[in-house]
Amino acid sequence: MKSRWLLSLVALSLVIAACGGNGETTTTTAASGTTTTQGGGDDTTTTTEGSGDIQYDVGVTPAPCDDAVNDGNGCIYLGIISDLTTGPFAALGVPLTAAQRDFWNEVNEDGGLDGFDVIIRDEDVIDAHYNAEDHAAGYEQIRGRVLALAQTLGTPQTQGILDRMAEDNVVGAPATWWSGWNFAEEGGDLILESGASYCFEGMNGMAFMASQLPEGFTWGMVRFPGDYGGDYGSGVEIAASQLGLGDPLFDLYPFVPISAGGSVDEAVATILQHKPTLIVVVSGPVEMAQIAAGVYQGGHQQFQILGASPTWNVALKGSEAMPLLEGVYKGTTPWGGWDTDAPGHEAMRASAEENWFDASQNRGPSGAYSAGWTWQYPIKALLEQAIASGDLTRANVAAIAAELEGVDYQGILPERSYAGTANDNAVRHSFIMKADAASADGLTNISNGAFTADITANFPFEAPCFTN
Amino acid sequence: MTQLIQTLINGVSLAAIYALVAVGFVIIFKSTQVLNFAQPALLLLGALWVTYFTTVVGINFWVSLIIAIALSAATGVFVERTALRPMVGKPIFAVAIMTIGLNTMLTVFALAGLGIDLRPIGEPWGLKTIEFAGFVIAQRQVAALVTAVVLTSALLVFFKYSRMGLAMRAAAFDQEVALTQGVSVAAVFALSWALSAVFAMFGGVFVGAGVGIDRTAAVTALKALPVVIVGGLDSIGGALVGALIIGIAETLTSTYQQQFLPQLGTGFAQVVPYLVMFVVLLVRPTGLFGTEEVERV
Amino acid sequence: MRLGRPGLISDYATDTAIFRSNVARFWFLVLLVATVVLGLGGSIPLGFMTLSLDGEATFYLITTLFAAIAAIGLNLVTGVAGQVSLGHAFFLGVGGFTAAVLGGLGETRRVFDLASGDFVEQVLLFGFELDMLIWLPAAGLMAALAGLIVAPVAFRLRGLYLAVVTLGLVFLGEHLFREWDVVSGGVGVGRPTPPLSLLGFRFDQPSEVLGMTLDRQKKLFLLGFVLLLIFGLAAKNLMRSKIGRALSAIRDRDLAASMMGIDLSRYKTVAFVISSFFAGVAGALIYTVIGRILPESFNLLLSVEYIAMILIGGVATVSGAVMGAAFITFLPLIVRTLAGFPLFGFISTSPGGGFPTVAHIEEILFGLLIVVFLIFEPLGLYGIWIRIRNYWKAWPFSY
Repeated sequence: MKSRWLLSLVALSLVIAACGGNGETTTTTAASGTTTTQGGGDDTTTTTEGSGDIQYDVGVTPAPCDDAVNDGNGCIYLGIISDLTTGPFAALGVPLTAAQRDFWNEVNEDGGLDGFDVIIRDEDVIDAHYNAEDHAAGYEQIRGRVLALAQTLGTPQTQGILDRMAEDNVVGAPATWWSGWNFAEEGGDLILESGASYCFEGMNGMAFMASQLPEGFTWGMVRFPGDYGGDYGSGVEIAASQLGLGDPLFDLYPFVPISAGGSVDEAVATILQHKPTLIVVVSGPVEMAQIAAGVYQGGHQQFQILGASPTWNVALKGSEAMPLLEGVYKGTTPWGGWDTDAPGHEAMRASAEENWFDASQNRGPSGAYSAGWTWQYPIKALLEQAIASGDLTRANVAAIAAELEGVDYQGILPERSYAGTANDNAVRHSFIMKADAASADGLTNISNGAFTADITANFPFEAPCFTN
Repeated sequence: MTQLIQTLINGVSLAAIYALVAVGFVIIFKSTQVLNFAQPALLLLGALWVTYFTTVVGINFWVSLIIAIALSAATGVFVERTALRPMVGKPIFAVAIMTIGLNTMLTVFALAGLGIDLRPIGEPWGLKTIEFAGFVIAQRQVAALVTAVVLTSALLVFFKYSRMGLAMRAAAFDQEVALTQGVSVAAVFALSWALSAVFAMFGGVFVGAGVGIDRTAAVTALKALPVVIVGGLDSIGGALVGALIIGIAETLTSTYQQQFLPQLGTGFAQVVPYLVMFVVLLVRPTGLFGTEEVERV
Repeated sequence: MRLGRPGLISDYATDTAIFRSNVARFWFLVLLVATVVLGLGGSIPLGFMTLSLDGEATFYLITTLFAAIAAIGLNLVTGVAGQVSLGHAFFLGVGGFTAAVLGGLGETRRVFDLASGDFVEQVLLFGFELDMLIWLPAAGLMAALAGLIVAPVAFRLRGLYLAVVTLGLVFLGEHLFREWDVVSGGVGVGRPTPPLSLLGFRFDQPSEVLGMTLDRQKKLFLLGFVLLLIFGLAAKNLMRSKIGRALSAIRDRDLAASMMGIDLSRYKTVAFVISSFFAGVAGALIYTVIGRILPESFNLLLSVEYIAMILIGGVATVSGAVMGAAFITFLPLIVRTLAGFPLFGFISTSPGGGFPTVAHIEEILFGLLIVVFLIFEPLGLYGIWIRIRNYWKAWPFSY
């Protein structure tokens, strides 16, 4: 008797389900003539409305933004999925996000983009804690209300939502330098990356160090898992093999981040066993500094560190390890340091001084702030061109993004195109820096500006250096 | 050989940090029968006080340390009064799980205070080393060891000879009997939380010594859990032995595993404490020095 | 059969029935109908307000349904049998990765082999592209197997030692997931999850069903709803069976239970195995809905979340586990909504700006709720519901 109950319940719920479904479909049909579709990506019908001459659908309104800078302008909404509080990259996510909101604020204060203000509302900024699940849930939250993503932090996290972004025709600026974003088959058409990838950074860094260190030097690697360690490490290995530097003495990969329960002890012990001249470190700033300190204290004092751009954090300037780092740390960055003399950097500094700096909260010059700023230029160019084409629908924006040309970085990076092959348009130069307590962000350039190794310049870039 | 001895030195200094946190666990468990999962948060908060006074206020490290001891003790008492007192007499699981909730809350405050960046502790040892018989030893390692030895000895002396210490032992033995003998069990509870928070604070100081402290420091406090389990939840001596076993096992693994057993993967040393715990518990279900429970129906 | 005073229970069968009265049946049906209508995007007019779920809430609702299955599983071992397990995350992970391997795509890459000097195929990810009919049960079975392996350690230990050992299990499991990258994709990378395709019927793509178009969200919701119904009723049945009674006896006093002839190790093993099965199935589904599974997701925090679900919802009841799962899953949404009210204006909605932000409040509330429920309402939301019910039952003479 009990089982009959169970069966009938299940059956009943199915029947009810069927009825409910019916009702729902009609409402959608009824509504679709008048309102814009919510992002629920499976719904492929896009409804467009005319506002003046501009076509648009999701994430754009002809009405001005709330508290609009320019009252006569329409409004374009962008979203951000970042790591802001408890995740391992919160130290980067917060300044990144602040810079991007400041960037658009400056754009609006200069009159906006030909009839539109661009705004990143508080509710469209998602804190995903560098967690793929929260990232997916966050995208679900904002997919129905933003035109594009001003930031999506983390490669695997971004890959996790790529299908849905493609479904919705949502374009995004990444907060990662994976080499795969240069390729359409990896989703690169929707992702507008800026600067040289980790892979080229690693190549340039290794080639530069090889030119500085005595011949026959020994080296080893310690690197984080995923695209970060994988991509940078591949670049270093390619450079090493082409320059005849020999194999690494050790390659600790994947080296588990402290935030994921790891510890530098193993890395330090391995380094002390081999005592290499050059240690390539692809990690976070805390791990890098602890490795440097541990190796030095362990009795190996003649070494150099080559670090990827995320190994540096201006907070290291105040740490006990800074005198040591000034002697050993060399790092690569995709663009110039804080004090670089370029119009883009100047605008960025002015904005940061006004909106970001706050001594009471330890907020000063920050590499992440300038990265967040720089990553917005392609989105700006994209929106300008979409507006000029008279069509701000997501489909059109995505179509333009795939073939975007003429992105002006105001001198931070050379003009950039996304059309054509990766081999033609990828950025290949890096800046080689050293730790310097006297500079604003703790880094001074030692490569005399942009540096492209011959290997990097001639590298046939036909596939990502690393895929996972 | 040199490498082995160097590894053992590192192991002992790591054990000193574990011991500081583990003794904190034991103090609370002994007197209140609570397994305090909030110890990681107390460690972070303690380190936060120190770094706040040395870097933001900008006063001498030793003065900061004294203020931090007072503040940590106050935090411990406050937590005990507000959250633990209403739970007296409730099942031990309920209390243990409640401390998990406390840990979540306190960690938020600690991290908000600590900020997102690395913060220097401001201790005088920095990256200085001393050479002893051909071995390089970091000053912070020596300091950690000395602190752990001095504090634990002081604690044992306190338990053995002071009036309050005697009261704590009495309360640990049987709360009701202690009450009838005029022991203020409430004071005992408060004091044990205060002591535990101070021990956790010292653990935090030495985790952050050298490069600085950030949000990831709490992981160390979690690894002190297998330490107390290996030693036995209610034995301070057991906690010290457990700390030595686990500290040395961990550093030995991190030095030699990549050479001899790379198949186990990178970062294996980080789970060695838990493996040791499994093995010990399979042999002795109440840890090496834990009191065996006598069951009556 | 049911004569005389309402609420009078005069025989054992009625006492252990899934629904003790027609009233319970009626409200269960109402709840069923309402949930389905809501889930399908319909709205329910209530006179003073209209209940409906927008797209965002639907996502949380789907997650709730699957999380509830895992929470019910945990409730069996922790609530009913009294064995506090902090290792639930591990079993969720086993289920999730089993599904990903059996149902997902494999991946190989050509790499240069230094030893032979040739290019060789290297397996990056195992994947067998099997049907959901296989990977879903297999996920549960693998997790159950893991439970079976862990159980011998568990029934040797009692009390807090068990809690800490299961905590250790999470760390060991996380290491295993991290290192076994042909299965998990590796830390920080993870792997895509399998398509939800049951004998060719896709739950994750829109299609025509019985003459109407159902999109991905609605199909997933229905799938979750039916599965939750099945698992919930199964758990409810289990609780009132011989096994359930034995488990409750073990929880209340294990020594007394064993003196009455209950085989402690056998029943503790059964509890762990069944609970792990639930977790495995739920793990497979939750991450498939999200679209990507990463090894580091299965950490202590996840276990604590599930403990919080059953504590806040109600220990040892199915409906409590469901309520708890809903509450914890919806917590971010609740906090964000609260932050919109002027009363909660102190919550900063500006990202990364000041203290407390929405994320801070979310975590504080999470911790605070555990503390508050343990101190004031150990029976959880379920207990609150019982109190409200009893108040109105006796109204106007309730005091």
